[in-house]
Amino acid sequence: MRSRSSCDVFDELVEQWGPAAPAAVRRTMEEHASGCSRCAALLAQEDTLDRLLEERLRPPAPEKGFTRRLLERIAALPAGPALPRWTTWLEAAAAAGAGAALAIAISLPNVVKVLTALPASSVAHAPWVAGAAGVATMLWFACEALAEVRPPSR
Amino acid sequence: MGERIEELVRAQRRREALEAIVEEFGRKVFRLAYSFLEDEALAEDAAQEVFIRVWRALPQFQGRSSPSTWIYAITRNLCLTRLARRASDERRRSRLVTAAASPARQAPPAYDLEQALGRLPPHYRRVLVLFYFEGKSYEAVAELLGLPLGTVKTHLNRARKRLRAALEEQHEKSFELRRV
Repeated sequence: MRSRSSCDVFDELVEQWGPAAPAAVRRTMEEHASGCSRCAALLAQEDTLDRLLEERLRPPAPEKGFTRRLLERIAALPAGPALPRWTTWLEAAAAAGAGAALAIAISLPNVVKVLTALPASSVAHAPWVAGAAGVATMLWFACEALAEVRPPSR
Repeated sequence: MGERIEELVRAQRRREALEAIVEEFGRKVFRLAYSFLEDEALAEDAAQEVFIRVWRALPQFQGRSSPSTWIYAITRNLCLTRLARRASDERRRSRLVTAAASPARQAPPAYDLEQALGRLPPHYRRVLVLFYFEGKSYEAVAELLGLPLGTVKTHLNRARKRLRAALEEQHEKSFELRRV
């Protein structure tokens, strides 16, 4: 006769472990199944299915010479562009910073010239304008540098 | 990735690094590709393409992320792209679905596993196939497919339930045919 609680435990074990039940779990399942026809039938079905799947699902392996064929394919590839020199994100970030500083240094005299030509009311906003321009320049250089470190596409 | 491979990459010995990578991951990548494509020739081609991509990206590899995660993700994405391209390919279907019609009154085999497997949703079938390929290891399947362990167990459990039901149904039909 089906004992509700122990059958529930049995079902949980089947769900949790399936065909990969450790020996101790398997023993618990078998002990219960030995006195329960419903769970014995389920366990038999599970075992049959497991056996069938084991027979059917044998792991395939690549044919002999896989690595040789791969290296031949690689050798036949057209030579790509020279690989980028960048090797770390840190180097890229440092380069971006240096580039941004250089750009600001170059453009600073012109910015000052423009600002001095502006009316006094406009000049009041100058620090904000200069700051925004600086940030935009740095972002642009950072994007350029990051594009450089991306793995080359095919 | 083993220290040896990292050393080879750092030393810019790219070819040796690739050979070491293929030695370590070749079979798993092939099996993972097979679980998607269900054809050995297609799986080999996909696996080779994966390693060509690895080869191209090797100079940028820093070893900061897990290389297995990286390589398996390349494999999954590549296979999904190829599957999408050939969604209607008959060759793949014929590997798993036995479409041959049984003559009247002839009892079908009690357990037509191919048919039952072919009816499983691909994501259940994939988990099931890899589970057996990887020696019944839930962890290995989770790593290969980039899925949480709980999801792998759930998929596997549902796949088994469906297979049991399908086989039971086949068994009943076979019994009915024999009675006629």
